[in-house]
Parts: sequence; structure tokens; C-alpha cells
Amino acid sequence: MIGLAFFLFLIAIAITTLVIDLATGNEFYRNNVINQDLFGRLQGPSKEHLFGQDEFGRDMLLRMIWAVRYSLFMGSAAVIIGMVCGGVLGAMSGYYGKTVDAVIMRAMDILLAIPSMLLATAIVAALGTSLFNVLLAIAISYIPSFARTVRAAVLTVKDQEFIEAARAIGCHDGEIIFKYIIPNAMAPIIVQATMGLAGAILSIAGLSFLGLGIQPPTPEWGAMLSNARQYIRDAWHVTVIPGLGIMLTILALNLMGDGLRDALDPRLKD
Amino acid sequence: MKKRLTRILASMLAMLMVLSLAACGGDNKGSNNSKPGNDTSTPGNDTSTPGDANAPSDSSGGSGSYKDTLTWCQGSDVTSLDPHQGKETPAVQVTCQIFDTLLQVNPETKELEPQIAESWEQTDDLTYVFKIREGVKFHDGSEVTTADVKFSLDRAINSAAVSYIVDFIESVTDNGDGTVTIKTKAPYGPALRNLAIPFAAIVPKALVEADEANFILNPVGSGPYQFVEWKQGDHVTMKAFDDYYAGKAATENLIMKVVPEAAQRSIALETGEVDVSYDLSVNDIPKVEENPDLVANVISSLSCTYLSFNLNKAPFDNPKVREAISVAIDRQALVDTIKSGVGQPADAIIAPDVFGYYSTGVPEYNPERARELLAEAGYADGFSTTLWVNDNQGSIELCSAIMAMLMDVGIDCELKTSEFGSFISSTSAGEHDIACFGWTTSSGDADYTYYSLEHSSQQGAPGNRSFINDPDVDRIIEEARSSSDEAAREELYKELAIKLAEYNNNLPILYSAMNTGASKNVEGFIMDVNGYHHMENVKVAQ
Repeated sequence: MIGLAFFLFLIAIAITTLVIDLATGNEFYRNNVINQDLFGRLQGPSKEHLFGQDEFGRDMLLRMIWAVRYSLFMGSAAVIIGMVCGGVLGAMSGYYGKTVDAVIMRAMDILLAIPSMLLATAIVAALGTSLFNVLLAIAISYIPSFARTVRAAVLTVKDQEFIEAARAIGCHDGEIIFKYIIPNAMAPIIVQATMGLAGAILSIAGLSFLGLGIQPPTPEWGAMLSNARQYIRDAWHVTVIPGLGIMLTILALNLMGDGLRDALDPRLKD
Repeated sequence: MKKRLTRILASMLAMLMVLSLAACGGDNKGSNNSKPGNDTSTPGNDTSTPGDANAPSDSSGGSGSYKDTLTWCQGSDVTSLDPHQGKETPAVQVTCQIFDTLLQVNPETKELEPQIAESWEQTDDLTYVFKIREGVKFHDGSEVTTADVKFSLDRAINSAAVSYIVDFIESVTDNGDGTVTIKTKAPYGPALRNLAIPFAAIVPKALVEADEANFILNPVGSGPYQFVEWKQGDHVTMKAFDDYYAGKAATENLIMKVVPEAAQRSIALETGEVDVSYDLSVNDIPKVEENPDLVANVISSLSCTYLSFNLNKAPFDNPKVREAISVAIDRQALVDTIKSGVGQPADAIIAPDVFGYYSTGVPEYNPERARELLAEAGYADGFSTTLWVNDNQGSIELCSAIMAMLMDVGIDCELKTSEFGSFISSTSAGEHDIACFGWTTSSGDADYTYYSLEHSSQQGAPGNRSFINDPDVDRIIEEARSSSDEAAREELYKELAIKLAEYNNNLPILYSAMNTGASKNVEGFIMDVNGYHHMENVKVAQ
């Protein structure tokens, strides 16, 4: 419950910032989020700046708030792309079996053999740094895990009698997969997606930390952490605050994933 | 419940991972060889001072109350121990202890002093005669001869890496009577200073010819220290040379340690792991200053950080736009904040310590005037542009702050960061709108910088990345280059400085300072403006 509440809170923040930006034509963003106050750099928390000021004297609280939407929306987008691609591949693999299964699963094994962070780094390095490339890189690294989850779920459902019934009344393969199998295999996919979101947000932060993700001055937690690390001995707040932001978000998503699993999986209900 | 606990633990681990990433991320600030514009290198003068008055003549090395080993750390490793190859600062910081040059520049007085050459004279505009000092020995015991000098200079001329500092030479002749004659292709004012740059080092002809590969791995020179061991990426050790012509070095053993992260270098100094630490992070300097056991040394360097406009692109072909951007930048604020007060605002692309510097006054910060100028130029509503910078953390921070200042006068500026190599090649090709460079006038003479950055024949890769092509500027540079009358040259450079300050093709932003930290027990350490700090007179009290 706590996880869900925090997640909803983050979504609310992200939407609010988006609305503010659209309503003021980025005016508020320019004047308050990326506006620098060089003489107030690295100042600790105070009444005017609750979370203190960063290495350019920008308000940390506002930057933390504005950064939410990049992490959240990019993470979600990456997971959704991974889920759709992986889902379709996994469903085909599980449903048709034999050669199709072997080809798809071996391809997934190849992707799985490369550590996902390394794969994402390589993709971004090859295609160049941009929001879309980061998103694509993370999405691709998520395909295999979704494909495997969906394939397993499809295997348990496809031999049941209602599928046989659907086939008997002349439904074609697409209809059977998307209308009858997928809806009945949804639970593990949702849980996987929630957990995957946590991982995706962490990967985005990691890539930005390495300078491969979001470019300055756009606020992003990983990039904030990276830029601040050389001041770790002078100003604790510039590293601790984005670090805590990342940690709490991941914790909340994991708690939410657990809660969803408990709720959706009847076998775990005791 | 148990599973929930596992999740919490997993999240903690994720946090740990983020933290450990923070601890091991490479800190670009640390690498002290990435001065853009000089294409990966910051070459410069050899300024060793054997027999310098500052050096107490107690050279028994390690006896009594002095340590027998001096350890320093720097951000990057040696690139090559061959002095005619490794021109990058981290390499020269080591090889300048092993090799000597014909002449040297005194780090304090900046005057030329004899080294391998005992004396020299200029017989006409094109001819220099050097008398080679007798009794100077290489580390293998053989004597430095005129044949070695000729061989070394020819080798430097033929080396792609360092040729540009000696390619003014037409021929080197061994006269056979202990003198060497150098003929230049054309009159060249800075000739002597170029010969004092450490990569015009004198190497032993016999050893290099016999086995060049072995020489590169086990260099033999005539300098105060002889090479012992190089463990790549970790350390170099050296030992004092007993027969050094100016007397044995003060400390017996010398160790250079590679410590890439800047914060780590300050910590190594604080814990006593090293005696001297090069290139501290500017925000660590106050900490070193406050520490009673440590001393921070900060000197002005010969480097200037400047913005270059691409004159081939609108709107930068308009002088009003260039001037507007110049007055929109608060240089003093940049020094006071981003650079923590280390360094000073710049008014020319050559630093005040360079021969030929003339102060035109730092452009006054005036955002009102900038908006007026933009309006006069027809950009009352501002415009969008990109600012290119290499991915060095310090440069990015500087440019982020400049970007905010430009935004303030209505110029919507986007930062474009790229890795050093691709940054250099794309700006050489003229893809940039505005780009941020650093340039070190290593020879200490204005010609080195003005010819490379402002002469129309040097467009693109050689250094002129603003693509300025002005006949007047070219004429002054050529006249000053081929004159050897110092007063006349100074006058010409003054004229040029005034012209360039109006032209604004390159906007000087700041002169960076060079710093080192040392334990308070270190005696006799004198910083060199190019970062080639010589160690032969340095000793550490117990």
C-alpha cells in the first residue's frame, strides 16, 4: 500500500510539472528550475531552498520535482516497449512451439548473455546520446525477460480446455492468442512490468550518471548525482538528495510489485 | 512478509550500487592533459634549474633528516617515455626529470639559461651557433657530444608528434669543434625558446640507433634522474644520477603515482601517501590550505579558456552579435564561483606571462548593452544557437554557466558535449556555432598562439577554428614572426591585441591557474608554468 501510494504521488508530481510547463510555456521551468544563482552555489538547505542549492545555485527541491517525470515517463515508455515486443515474441514462442520457439528463445538467450547495462551502454554509444536512444537501449535490454515470462504463462494456459474450445469453433491463431491466452496470462506480466519499471528507472539514472543519458541542464536524478559527486566532501546534500530520491522510488516500486503479486496470484494468498 | 523484506534488501542493494558508481566514476577534471585546441597536449618549456640558488647544496640524498624518497601523484599516466613522442603533459612531467635540452627557461625569472649548450650566439638572422658543454654524461656513462645533439634535433624534426616546435629549422650542422650550427628556414623570433621545450630533448645517438624499441621502454638521458621502472597505469620510479653535470639531485629516489580521481589525489596528500599532488580539484584547495600540515601552491598558467565563434555561420559573421555575447558574459563571476576564485578573467587569448601580451582590459559585464547590441544587429528577440564543448567535467560546468548568462540576454543556447577526439574533429571541420576551447602558449611566446589561432593559413585542424581571414591580422602576425627585435615585436603584438579585442572572433574567458598541493615538509619545490615541475632540488624533511 505504501508503495502504491508513493507511486501515485510520483505520478501526480510528474503530471503537475507537465501541466505547469504547458500552461506557462516553459516560463516557470526557465526562471526557476534551470535558472542559475552562481553566488549561492552548494548552499545547504535553508528556508528559501528547502533542499539546498546545487553546484550552479539552482534550487534542488524544484530540480528533484522536475526530474520525476523524466525518470517515470522514460522508464514507463521503455518498459511498455519492452513489454509489447517481448510479449508478442514470447506469446508466439509459447503458442507455436517447435522451430519458432527454438529460434526466438535462442535469440533471447543471446541477448540475455550480455549484461543489460552493458548492452544499453553499447547501444547508446553506437547511436549517440539522446532521450530516444536511451529509451530504446533500455527497452531492448528488457525484451528477453518479458519474452520468457510471457512464454511461460502461455505454456500453462494453451493446453486448457477453453483454448481447445476456441480452436474448435474456428478462431484463428491471432484471435486465440490475444483474446483468450494473453488476458489469462496477464498477472505475471503486470508484476514483471512493475519490477521492470524499477530496474528501468535505475538504468536511466545509471546511464545519465555515466554521461550517456539526459544532457544538461535538464534535471535528471542520475545526472544530478554524477555532477555532484566531486563536491561530496563539501556539500552532502547535492549527492544525498538525488540518491535518496532514486532509492525511495525503487523501494516503492518494488513494494508495489510485491503487493500486486500477492493480490494477483491466488496461490500466494494465505 | 519475508518476501517484502527481500525486496527492501534488494532496494538497499540498488542504492549501494548507485553509490559505488559514484565512487568509481572517472573524474575528467583529473586528467590534466586535455587542453583542447592544443590537440591533446600541452607542450611547453623545459625549465629545469640545476644548481639553482634555491636548492640547498646538501645533495647527499636521504641522509640525516631528509627522506630518501619523494613521491608525487598526477591524474594521468605517461603516454610514452620517448621525449620525441610523449609530448602530453603527464608524460613530460616524468621525462623532463630524465632528459635535458640545449637551453632551459628559469621557472622563476622566465629567462633563458644554458643547459647542454654552455653558450650560444646568433651570427645572422638565420644562423645560431651553440657551444656544447663538456663533460655532460648520459646515464650509461658516455659523454654528450655534438653528434648526439645533431641526431636528437633531426629525430625531433622527423617525429610527427613534436615536429611543429622545431620545424623552423632548415639544417643542423655538427661543426666538429664542440659547436653545433642551426640554420632556420626564415627569421624566427621564438627559436631559442622553442629549443628549451622539453620535447627538444637530447638523446644518446648510439643507444637509440642500436635498439630504438629498448630505448623507448628504458630511456637513457642526461638529466638529474635515471629511469628505473614503469608499471603502466600505476607508477614510475627513478633514481638520482650520480654524475649529473650540475650536481647530484637532492633526493635519492623519485616515484610518480597515477591517481585519476581528483578528490582521491587530495586524500592521498592528506593521509601522507604522497608528498606532492598535482592538479587538485579547485574546490579542494581551501581544504588543503586550511590543513596545517599541507601547503597549496597556485600559480597563473599559460592557458586561456576562450569561446570561438564560427565566422562562416550567421549570425556570428555580424560583429555586433559577437560583441553582444562578449559583454553578456560575467567573467569575474565565473572565476569567483565555478573556479572557486582560482584563476583570473581574460582579456586576450595569450596569458599575461607570455611574451607579447598586451592588456586591452577585460570586457565589462553589461547585459543591458548586450540586448541593445543584439537589437541593433536585428536580433531583438534573440536567437537559438549551440555551444560545443568537450566532455571534461570542468569545461561543461563553465559552459553551463555561460549558457545561463546568454539565456539572460535572450540567446537560447543548447550545450553540445562530445568526447575529446570527436569534439576536435567536428570543430576543425567547422560544424560548430560557438565552441569552448583551452589553449596553452607552451613556448611562452605570443607567436605560438597567434599564428595557430588567428592566421588564415591555419584554418581548421591547426587551430584557427573561428575561421578568421583578415589580411591585416595576417600581416601583423607574419611581421612579428620574422622579426627578432623584441621591442618591435612587442609593438606589433600590441597592435594585434587591440585589433583582436575589437574583432571578437575569439572571446577570451579566463586564465586558468595551475595548482599543486604539497606536504609542508617539502622544500625547494618550484612550480613550472607548463606543469613540467622539476624535482632535482626538492627534498622532504622527515
